[in-house]
Amino acid sequence: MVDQAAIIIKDLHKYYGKIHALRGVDLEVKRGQIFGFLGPNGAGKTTTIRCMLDHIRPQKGSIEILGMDPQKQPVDVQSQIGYLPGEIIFPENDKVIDVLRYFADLRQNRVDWDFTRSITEKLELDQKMPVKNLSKGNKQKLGIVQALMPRTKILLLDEPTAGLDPLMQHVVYGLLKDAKADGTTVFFSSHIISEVEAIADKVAIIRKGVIAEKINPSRLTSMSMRKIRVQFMKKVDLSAFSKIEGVKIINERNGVDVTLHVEGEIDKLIKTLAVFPVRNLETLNSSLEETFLTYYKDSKTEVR
Amino acid sequence: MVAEFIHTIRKLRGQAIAWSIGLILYGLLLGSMYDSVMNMQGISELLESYPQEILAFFGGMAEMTTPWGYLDVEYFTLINMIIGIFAIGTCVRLIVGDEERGLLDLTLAHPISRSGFFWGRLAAFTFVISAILIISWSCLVIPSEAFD
Repeated sequence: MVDQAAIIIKDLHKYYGKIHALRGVDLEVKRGQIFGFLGPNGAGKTTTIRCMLDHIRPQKGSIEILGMDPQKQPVDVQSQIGYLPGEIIFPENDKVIDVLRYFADLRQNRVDWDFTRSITEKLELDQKMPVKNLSKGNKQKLGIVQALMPRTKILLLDEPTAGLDPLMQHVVYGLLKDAKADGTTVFFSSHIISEVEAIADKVAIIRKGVIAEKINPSRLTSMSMRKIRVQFMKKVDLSAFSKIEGVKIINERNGVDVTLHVEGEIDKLIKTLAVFPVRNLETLNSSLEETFLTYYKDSKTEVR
Repeated sequence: MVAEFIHTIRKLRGQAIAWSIGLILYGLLLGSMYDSVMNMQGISELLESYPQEILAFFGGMAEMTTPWGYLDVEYFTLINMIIGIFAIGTCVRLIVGDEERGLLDLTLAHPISRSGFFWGRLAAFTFVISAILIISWSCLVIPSEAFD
């Protein structure tokens, strides 16, 4: 029983009308793991999560959660899951504590209130505040508290750190690690590479409704792509850069202002840059989708 | 189901109190007007001059000059409409409104079956409507019985 997986998904297909949202998702999440579900917007992350809760039903494929089929035993499955939706809405007129009490009542009040109070404090959320006065970040915190509060065996979190500032993001990472220490299986979706890398034990990358890759988070850095802008003090010969492996010039102006795509390790580029007079160097944010596009366009054969 | 029942009643409490007070006041107003309406000159003649269709539409207007006939016309015909406005609005909002606002996503992720959720809310709704009707009706009938 110990080795039994917490979540097993096999060949999951979901159509929204003619749109084929999931095209055969296969996943296995071991018990006690923090599992990162990484993918750009619209890749099928939320759809997969909603299938696990039996909120929507797939046309094909099977899901097993702690050995149970969510379609056959939805209430038994839901009682084992703490869920954070990607788009979170609460009744505007209720106070934070009323919202928490209501969700606790739906679980026959099987909630550890001391624990709840401690995580609310860690997240700096005021329990007496009415929901309508909460900022987007505070609503997200309330969502996290209600998901963690019942201390279920499984957590399904759809973009848990969306809308939180970096400090609070780290508090959330800490809470998820605490949950893992309690033996909870954490399944969370994200489109931020660094976040998944920081806390996940295992990562699945979903793209266009299929799992593109299942990897260890340490590999994410090497496959991630950076966009770097370099400004030189005088015109330089750029041919030295285009020779470096994994570096591509995507934009240049007069040989003094260059934007580069860098795949994987940044080391060689830095060494090459060292001999030139550099005025400014900045790393531009590149979206996950950009990373994917580059990664899969260039290394289709390499996918392991 | 029980949790959903209690939660829904709590949610409707404010509205239920407001509607009850309104209906009680309406009942008291009608009660206090009964004598003056009955003493109006030519009320029976006026009623007789109405076409049959109109009288039928408002229901039993021929008996309007008796206390129960008066209530029937002025109170029980209208209260259907008044309570209907409340009932339809509230009932629709309870499930469809919450669904459209996206509130149900998280609620239904909790260990509560869809039928349990539905019947819990419907039972609470029926309970609240009955309570409003019983309260406002008793406030109308009990004093009038006492004065007879």
